[in-house]
Amino acid sequence: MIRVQPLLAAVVLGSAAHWVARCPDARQARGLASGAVGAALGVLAVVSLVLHGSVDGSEVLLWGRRVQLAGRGWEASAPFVDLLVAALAVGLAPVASHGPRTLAAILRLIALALAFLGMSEPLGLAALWGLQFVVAAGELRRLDEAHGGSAAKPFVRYQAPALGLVVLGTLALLFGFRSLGVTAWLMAIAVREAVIPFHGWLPTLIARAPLGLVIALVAPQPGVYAHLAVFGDMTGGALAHGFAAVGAFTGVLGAALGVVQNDARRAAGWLIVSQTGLIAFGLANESQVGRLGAVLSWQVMALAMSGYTMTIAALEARRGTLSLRVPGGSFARTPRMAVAFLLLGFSSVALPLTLGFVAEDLLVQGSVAEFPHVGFAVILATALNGINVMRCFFVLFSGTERHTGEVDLTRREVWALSLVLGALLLGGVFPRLFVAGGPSPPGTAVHGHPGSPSKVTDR
Amino acid sequence: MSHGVGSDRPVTTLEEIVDEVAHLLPEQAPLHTFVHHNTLHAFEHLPFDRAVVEAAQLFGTRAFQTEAAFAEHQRCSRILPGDIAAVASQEVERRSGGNAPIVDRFTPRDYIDLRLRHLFEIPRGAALAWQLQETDLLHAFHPGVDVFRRRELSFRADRMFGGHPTGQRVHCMLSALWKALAEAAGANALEPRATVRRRDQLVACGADDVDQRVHPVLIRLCAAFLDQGVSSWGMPFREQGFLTAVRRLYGLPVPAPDAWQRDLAHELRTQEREGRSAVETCRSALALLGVGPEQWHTYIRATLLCLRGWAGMMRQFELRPDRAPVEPRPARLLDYLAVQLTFDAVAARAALRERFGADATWDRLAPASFGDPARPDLEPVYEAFVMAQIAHVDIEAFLRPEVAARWLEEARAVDATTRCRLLHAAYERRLRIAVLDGLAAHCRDPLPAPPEPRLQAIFCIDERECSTRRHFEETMPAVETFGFAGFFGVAMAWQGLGELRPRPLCPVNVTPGHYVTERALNPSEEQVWRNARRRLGLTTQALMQGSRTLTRGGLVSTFLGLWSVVPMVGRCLAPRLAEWLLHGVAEGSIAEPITRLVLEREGDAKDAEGRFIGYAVSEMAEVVENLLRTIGLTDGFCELVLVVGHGSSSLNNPHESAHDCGATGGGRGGPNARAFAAMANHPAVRDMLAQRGIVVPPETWFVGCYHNTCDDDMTWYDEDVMPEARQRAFAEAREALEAACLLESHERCRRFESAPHGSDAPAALRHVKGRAVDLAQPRPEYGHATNAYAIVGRRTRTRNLFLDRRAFLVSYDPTTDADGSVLTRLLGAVVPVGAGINLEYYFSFVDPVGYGCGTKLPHNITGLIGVMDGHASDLRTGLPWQMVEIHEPVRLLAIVETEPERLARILDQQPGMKAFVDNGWIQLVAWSPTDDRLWEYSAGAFHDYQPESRLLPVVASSATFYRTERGHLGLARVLPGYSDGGNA
Amino acid sequence: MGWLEFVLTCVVALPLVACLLLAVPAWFGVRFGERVISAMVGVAFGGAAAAALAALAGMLGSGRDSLEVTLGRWVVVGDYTFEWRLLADHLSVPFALFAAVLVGLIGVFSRRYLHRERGFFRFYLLLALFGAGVEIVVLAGALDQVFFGWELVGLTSALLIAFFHERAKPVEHGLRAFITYRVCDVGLLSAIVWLHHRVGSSRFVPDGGPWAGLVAPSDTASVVAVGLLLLWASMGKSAQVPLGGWLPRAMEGPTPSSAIFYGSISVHLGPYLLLRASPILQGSPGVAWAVVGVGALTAAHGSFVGRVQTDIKSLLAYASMTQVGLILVEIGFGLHYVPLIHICGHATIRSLEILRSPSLLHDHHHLEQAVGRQVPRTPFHIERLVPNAFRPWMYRHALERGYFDSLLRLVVHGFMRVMRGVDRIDRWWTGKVVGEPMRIDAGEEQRR
Repeated sequence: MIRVQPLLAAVVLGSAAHWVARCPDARQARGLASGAVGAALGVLAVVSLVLHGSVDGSEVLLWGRRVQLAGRGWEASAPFVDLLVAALAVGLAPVASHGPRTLAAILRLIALALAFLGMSEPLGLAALWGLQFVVAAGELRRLDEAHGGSAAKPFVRYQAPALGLVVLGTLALLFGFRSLGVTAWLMAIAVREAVIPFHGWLPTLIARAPLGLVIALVAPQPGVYAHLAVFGDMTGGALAHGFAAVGAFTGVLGAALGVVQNDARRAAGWLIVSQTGLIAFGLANESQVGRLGAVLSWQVMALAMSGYTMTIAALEARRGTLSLRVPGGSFARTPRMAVAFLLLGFSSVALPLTLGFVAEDLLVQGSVAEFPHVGFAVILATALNGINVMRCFFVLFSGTERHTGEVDLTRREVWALSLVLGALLLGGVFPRLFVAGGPSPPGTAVHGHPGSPSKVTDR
Repeated sequence: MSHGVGSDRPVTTLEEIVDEVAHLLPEQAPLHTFVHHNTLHAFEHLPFDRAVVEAAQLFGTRAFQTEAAFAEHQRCSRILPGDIAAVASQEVERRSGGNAPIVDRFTPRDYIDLRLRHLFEIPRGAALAWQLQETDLLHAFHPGVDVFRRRELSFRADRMFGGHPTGQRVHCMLSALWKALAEAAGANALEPRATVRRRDQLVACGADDVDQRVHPVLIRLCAAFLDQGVSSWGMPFREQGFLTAVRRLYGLPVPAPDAWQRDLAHELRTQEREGRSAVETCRSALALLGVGPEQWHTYIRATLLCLRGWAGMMRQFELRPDRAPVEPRPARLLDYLAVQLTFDAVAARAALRERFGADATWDRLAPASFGDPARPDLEPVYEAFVMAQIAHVDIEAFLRPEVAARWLEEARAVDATTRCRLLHAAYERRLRIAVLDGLAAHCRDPLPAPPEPRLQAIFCIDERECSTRRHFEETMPAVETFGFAGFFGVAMAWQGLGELRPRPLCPVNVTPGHYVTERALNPSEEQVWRNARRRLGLTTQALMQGSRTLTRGGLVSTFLGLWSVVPMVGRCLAPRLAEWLLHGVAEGSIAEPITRLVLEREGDAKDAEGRFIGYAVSEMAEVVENLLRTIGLTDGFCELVLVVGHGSSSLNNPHESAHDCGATGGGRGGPNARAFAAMANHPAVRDMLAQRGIVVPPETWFVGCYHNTCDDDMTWYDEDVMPEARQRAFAEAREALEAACLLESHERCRRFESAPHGSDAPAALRHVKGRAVDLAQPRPEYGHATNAYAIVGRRTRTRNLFLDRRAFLVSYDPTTDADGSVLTRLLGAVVPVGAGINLEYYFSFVDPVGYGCGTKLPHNITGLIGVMDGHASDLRTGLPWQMVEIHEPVRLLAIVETEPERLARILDQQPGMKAFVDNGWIQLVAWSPTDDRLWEYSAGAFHDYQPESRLLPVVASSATFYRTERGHLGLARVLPGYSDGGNA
Repeated sequence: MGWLEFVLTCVVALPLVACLLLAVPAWFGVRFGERVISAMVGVAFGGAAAAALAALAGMLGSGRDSLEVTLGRWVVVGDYTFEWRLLADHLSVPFALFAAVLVGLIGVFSRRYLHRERGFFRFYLLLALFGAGVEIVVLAGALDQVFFGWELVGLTSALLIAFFHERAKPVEHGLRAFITYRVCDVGLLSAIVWLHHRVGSSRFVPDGGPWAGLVAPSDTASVVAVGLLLLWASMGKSAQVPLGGWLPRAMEGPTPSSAIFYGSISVHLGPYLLLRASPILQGSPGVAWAVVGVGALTAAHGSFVGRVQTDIKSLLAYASMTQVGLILVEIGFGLHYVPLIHICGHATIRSLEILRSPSLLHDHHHLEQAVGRQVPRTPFHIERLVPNAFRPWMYRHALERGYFDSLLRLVVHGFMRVMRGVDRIDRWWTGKVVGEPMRIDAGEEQRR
């Protein structure tokens, strides 16, 4: 099955990336890239509105394939989420670490993530997965060569085997070796989602690579989508339960490790690891509520963590390396940045009034029946993540009145963050905007997955 | 193994070191006797400019106002271009390099002048890199570049980079300029900052912070030891000294969960067993810390300064036990140091072991360096870059390396400290000129003499009484006012009716030799009063303190708690009404008995402290004579002479006493005024005065009274003994002074941002009365804030001059002081007091956190002796921000009405004062007693002052002048006879 | 929706609207003056108080014991529904009224107290958010919504402790309070989830007692678990032994916020929660006794430690702790109205005392003069019962605050040490996979 809107947006971004890469000046390139993201958002919004209003049946047959015109629930919102992630990854990217070619790579990665959302066949997904790997590894390697870093190696060491697993899994599925295919795909997803013990690349990458690039790579979470698309109905059973247990373990351990970090980037990295773990846990749920919670968490995490991490990037560009050993910032100097940081961080860890609260509530409520004991791990992990966020906030934005003359958010940055914060807060007050229409008829899969010809289960 | 602990001092004994370092500690007494003093008294041997900079380095504080503040002063013309030009010229003269042009004809003087007029923030490190990459720094001119220069630079860019596209030329030029300057700067590694204390070295090595473990315990112990009655369970063993008490308590073999506390217990027990003295303990602790004798001085200084509030308070209790609010404690700074060093040593060793293993030694601590590794020192480059755009010089010249280097050197020479020093000089210069011009203009053109006085009044020299006196003279032109230090020469230990213990009411440097008390006329009335008060007090105590305990608290809060909604609502919504209902009614119903002072001594009776009980007649005569001669009131006495003491009473104000009269040592001057009046009315005293040549006519009557500067209330003493014949005059005087107080509150309200602006005087009085009793009001009054100058001379010469509550007005008559002895005595008293107040405000303003005690909002009273910031901090000394926020930090400008030669002679006779003045802690001006000439003192000599302007605003009344203004006002002449009572 | 339902909604809605009106313009750079800011908060809480009073009057007038408003379904997924319901009864309406009045009064008070303070806006925004959180907690119709407000209260409390963010200590203490809250909130959320799992809802329903309460699960183990989880939740918020060390440290913010949080409202939310949970306490004597035990221990600890405090705010903090402990004892004994009255009485008296604390020198001087002798002289000292030889031990014990802080520190440091060890292992392992060593600190990693 093919969805139209994300593909359209992917085309806009992909073609813009070409021009962005050729800009002589980084600031100019960022302007262009921001414009492209804005344009893609506009196109997506218009198309969605038009299709939503005019098309009665949501699917048509085109060249023998089913093409979905108007998505429902999270299907409709996911492309927007990806574009907002792009807006953050580009809009808050400091030019010092994000040259034109890095920006272009960010756009390409997001375009590929959007394309990912546009299809649901394992073969296409595998191809896109491979392309993402090539783009990211290529850019990381180029950066390493240009600046003498070492970010590409950890990435490739972890992700190349994952790509291999994807290829293996896809082939296995094509040739009917279902359980092998499922296992291989799940393993690959686990690596892509940095589930412990396959997580090592993420904290390392976030400590070493330009944060915009990391966000473009991590925040859209293609693994989650692949999980939903390929194994949307695969619930219950030993494999799913194993996956859930590993996810919950990742959630708690990642959260606990995040609390003891001495480096703001790594702390954010563990925050991401912990949350992807929780999402993975939720996806393996049988209950519709828990799975919806996971899907919402996925979107919340994409928005909130990109904003959070990119705020760290913006702050780091102004203040230098951010250590968490001693308090070192003045709230009064950069109030907007501080507020954005706090709100984004807390919306990812279930602050009431934000979408994160709804997501966590659903996740916990849904999972308790199936996993009465592991379910409490989610609560514990969220508590620890909250402590992590608060600690980072206090250390980075208070404790001293000294400052280096850093400047608060620029207008472009404020707008990018306003969009995201607006979405998160609006979702917190009117969660039905995000929840309603999604998994409508009880009993079917979360995303309504009418495309899958047969249920994929290993029961 | 010692790193960064350099010391150039000869090895001295530990006691000497402690005595020397003790001078650096804050000299603030317990809060109830707050006395203003120079915060940097330990640096008085240095010139002011150097002292503030050195102190700033030692304490980590700020020396001057911020550049942002100075920029604001320039924007609103508080500093004028002329001032900056003047200080720039002075600075160039001071320098050795001369004024040779830097580039073209652009001289260092031009550079300084221009730089001081263009103050901008200089981003550092990453923030600067960010600006270079993310902003238009290299693409557009700096916003400080004016329009002409912009055009010139654009032309220049067109010429230099004609080959580039039009939009790129400016960018090319600016980039080239930046590159040239950055290349001239080269790489510059920051020097590693030396660390003294083991704790700093340990933290730099990534160990746990030792202070985080030691300080909470130490603070708790100090507070418990010095506590004057907050806790209901006093510290055991405290009568045996701090060291012993700590040893007994923390030497107990308790299975404490903290490992270092177990080590500490062991160490303390050893100390006690061996009977080590404090000095021995210090030595052994220093040895444990691996600090050799050559580093003792530096180490002890750093140690004592890290909790300097508490260390200073220990010292205060040691030196002045008599100033303890309730009971003295056997405190010694050495004991405290012994405890602190022992704690530090044990905890630091524990931290060392945790970090580096059980057998680690101090050698493991690598020399710590903070700061960034070697990188180009870009901040001066940024400055030079901006200045090159602003200065009218050929920009192409900077592409030559030698010019760029020279320009950069100039930028480095005019660094932030230099800029602030110069700007401060300019800031003071403007105020000085305004005052001196005003004075000269005022006395050049004398007003007609005021009418023959019918009333005389002696006030405190306090600048808050400056405006009260002006209003008094405006409402009642036939009054003559004088200024004398508010204890009126009566240096006594005073115990009012119902007070528990006497307190000294005299300047701090005086130890009172006389004890004065009051007695009710009717003892049975007194008993009734006491009983009623006690009942009320006991009820309050039962409710307030009872609510804090377990069982009574439970009962009180369950059964009576909800009633406190009433005071709560009242306090929040209508503070004045609430105070009246809750206190006024209850206390008002208890009639206070009529009392008399026990003033005259019978025989040579002494109290327990060895003070005379009361004064002998001859002593009284001496007090009275001294005052009258000093102020020049030796004849022409009126029917009534008012003696006005002052003080201040307010709620929500731990620093209440700082608003009281400084001359009475932070006490309230009412009893002094009352005692002085009683002395002066004493027939035997009058006889004795007559023998000494001061004939006070029998119909003259002295009346003591008390001015509450917070709510502008007047209290009158001993009205019942006033002769019948004086009653009419008294009624008139009372009415006039109360009217003056009304206007005074009106004038004060203009400075309160929350007071209605431009309201009428009665509303203003209601407002200030509300402030005084408002629990929510952190600034009941502004105290000495705005003090700026002192005028020592005859009031006739400053009468009708609006001085904006900023002048200490000291009465002195040069015509009756032939040999200058009166002036010598007067200056000896006035200069330290005035400068003390002034400098304390200076420092608390320029660094409210480092020198002052920060904002009042989180203050937490501890032990009834001081305030902490929140839960458990160092004891905070200095003034709170809410007290000083409207202050102008300038050094006191003392204007003395006398010939410069005489003043120079007096200075020569008083080496202490001369050093103080020479070092510039005060600005001194001589004012001719006969005409409008003035002489400024600088560099050891008096220089003729040339007025800048001869204009002086003339207004019909002070109210018309100040009414529309919230900020500081200049001088103005108030024409007599137009007073409108503030209602115009 | 009838008018009664409407006014009840207003009690919650007005503070939220005030927050919104303050926060949204501020994000876009619109600065209001002090008067406008304080007026907004004052009006919002004045309105909320009036609405609560009207609701009370309406309920009394119509003779209804309780009133429920369903504001709508927030989330409906399958058989799970998050429904916004407000519940007014004998417990919540007095509490809501009382909280609105106090917050409103503090709002008026702080206009003068915080005049010209740089964080004026921040203070009022947090105060309004806190007030909104409290009203949500109090009027919530189910435990889910309690949690919603509960979190807001915790967050604003931590941020107000760290109000003076330029010093390190307030920030440290704010973080400490936040960590305590957050760890204890695990209890509340777990209780909610367990109730949903076992009972199907966490709604408060009338059960014959004076007010609505939770529905106790049918099995004893669940009752005990839920009861203990709720006790754990309230121990953090109400500073009970052994977690109460944050309370004296919380006195870092401006005096009015200390008064409203730690003198009156915030510390009493724990007892409020337990009052709502009275069916569970009745269902299990063990839980009730645990509540009594924690309360009694805290009361004894607070009263004992409070005796040696030498600064006024710590003294009041321990006095607060003592009374809250007593209130817990009363609740544990199954009383209903006594603790409610005790809460209200204690909250007013204590917040007034904290507001008055800067006047201590003034008051002490006056009191001393009035009674004619040195104060304090509490007539009966508990420590006098202790034999002489033990007094130093007891004093030391009180001065060290019962060593609870040290014990907590041991626990936290132990956790940190273990996690750092795990972190090191993780780095080592990742380093093995990647083939290069991983470093610990910021800046040591290579980056551009």
